[in-house]
Amino acid sequence: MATREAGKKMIMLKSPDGMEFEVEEAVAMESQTIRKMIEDDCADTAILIPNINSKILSRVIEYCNKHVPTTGATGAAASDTVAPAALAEDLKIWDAEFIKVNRATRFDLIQAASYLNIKGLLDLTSQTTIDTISDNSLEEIRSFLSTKNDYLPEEEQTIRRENQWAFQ
Amino acid sequence: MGDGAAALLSAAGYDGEDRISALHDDLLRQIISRLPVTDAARTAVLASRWRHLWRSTPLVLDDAHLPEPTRASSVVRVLSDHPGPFRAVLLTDCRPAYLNRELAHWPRLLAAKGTQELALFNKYYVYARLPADILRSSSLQCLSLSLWRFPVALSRSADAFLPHLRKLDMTSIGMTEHDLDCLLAASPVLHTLTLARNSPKRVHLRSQSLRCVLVGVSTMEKFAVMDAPLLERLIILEPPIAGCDCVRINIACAPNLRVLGYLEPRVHKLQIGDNVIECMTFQPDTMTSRCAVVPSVRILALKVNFRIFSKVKMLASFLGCFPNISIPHIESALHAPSTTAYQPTWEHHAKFWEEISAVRCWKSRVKRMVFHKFRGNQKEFEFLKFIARDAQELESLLLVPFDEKFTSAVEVNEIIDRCRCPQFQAWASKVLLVSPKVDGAWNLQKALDLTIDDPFLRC
Repeated sequence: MATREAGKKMIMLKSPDGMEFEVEEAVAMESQTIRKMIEDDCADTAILIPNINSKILSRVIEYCNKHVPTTGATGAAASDTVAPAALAEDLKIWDAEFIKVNRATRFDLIQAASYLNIKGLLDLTSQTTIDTISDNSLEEIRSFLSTKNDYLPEEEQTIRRENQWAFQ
Repeated sequence: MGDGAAALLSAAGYDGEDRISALHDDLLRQIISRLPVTDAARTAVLASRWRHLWRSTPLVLDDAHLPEPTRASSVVRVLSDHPGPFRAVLLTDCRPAYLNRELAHWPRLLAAKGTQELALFNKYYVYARLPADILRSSSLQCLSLSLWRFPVALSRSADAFLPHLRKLDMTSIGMTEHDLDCLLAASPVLHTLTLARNSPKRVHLRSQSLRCVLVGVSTMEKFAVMDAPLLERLIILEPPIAGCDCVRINIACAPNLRVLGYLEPRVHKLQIGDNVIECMTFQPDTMTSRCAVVPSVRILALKVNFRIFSKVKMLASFLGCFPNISIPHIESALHAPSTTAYQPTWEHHAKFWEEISAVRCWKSRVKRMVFHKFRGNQKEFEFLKFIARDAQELESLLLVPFDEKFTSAVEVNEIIDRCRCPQFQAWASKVLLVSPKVDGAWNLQKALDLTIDDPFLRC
């Protein structure tokens, strides 16, 4: 339900397990998916967020709350007193803490960030996977991702030959 | 399993379920597109689920990620194996001769596979001819070229057509001014342009779309903005190489120019429209001719050697051309001592600035000012006193000391006290801030980023 509270427009988000979250419109619009719904006037009643349970949705809202730009309505004065670099540094530290979650949660967050189209969160959550793939051997990557090698040995050889330059 | 992965597993609440393969293909492709190209291609071997993902992900190839000595042959393999589209191809360490031999049609291939971002740095065979097809790659959005010679004199519009190009960066390119004109005319949505060390000695810029230009003028005699209705930002870098004459900077038509700098009286001759800006004289009528102003500029950066009186006078003349500046950046610069033939005393400076104030050459709207590389000499203080008198709307003056010369505001205040000018002291106590931490290195990406309001505040 779109309501007004202390001059700020509020939006209701609903998870499939029945929880409701009331968030500022500006915070919800960190998600390009929700932004589009609001701009297309599809947000009169609560917005149901399919496939994202309340535990993950609350983490996503926590992220958006932290990353909503501080200029404009909420804190126009911030830029004069705090150097942008210091602000960015603070966010980086916060992000590093935020992403200290177990693997299952991280993959849920990747999926949520993708569905809701929140670029910053998607970059942050994917980065660990990217780091793992670029720093480890194939065996280690498979273990980390819990991916089973379902190739026959000769199939794997064929694929290695197709991309031989990458295995030199 | 290596130690690394074992540690990751124990830390990560391993549940044995293959979560990543449950992610949909588009998401996995996004992850693949951010991997170095070798790692991206190797994912095909992880499991059958991954087999076709790299080939169906728009290619991101940066040759810096490919190991030597097989770098060039790997580039050839990737370009010919990957079905496209190519999102980014960055070749900064490839011999064009090798590419020509092993993959003769590589320029056409890049165009055919819809390359959006392309960097070609030819550091081996200086000034090889740039393949003509590159300038007809209609999918290009970002193009970065270094150390090439232009194909042939571009004469007809058919020679170049870059309908989607938004960002162009050219360094050390052998071309004529006419080539550059044709290229700009063939790029109708070009937004950001970087030029440095190219062969044209004179550039007359005409573009209906450019918003941001960064130009290194070290090899130029003249840089003129003839017609750039959308230009908001002009950043001038690289003073001429020692021994060269002045560079003429001409602003003829740039009605939206908001940010300009660094102008240097030592090496730049400024021309606004048809008026060459000369040293300031004290007849009120000639102070600032009405047609010799750029009223749109709000943020202006100037670099001046306060020890050379004639350059300080030029500083005043330059300032007079921009009546609506709200944030000036002044950098105190020292140059070769041999140029300081005439060294008047600071009293000359004091008298000069007082006379300027007396004729009220401009009503200053300066809100904030930043003084970079402040060295604490008397001539700089005479300029600050002038600002104190004239800039009545000034809210803050940020002083950035040179080379940690002053570590605290206390030391600056001591010097101010020694001026024995109570009015100036009172003013300074109200607006002056001393910060040794503001000046970072120039970050060109930031200088070109129009979302950053003031590119000269380097922090």
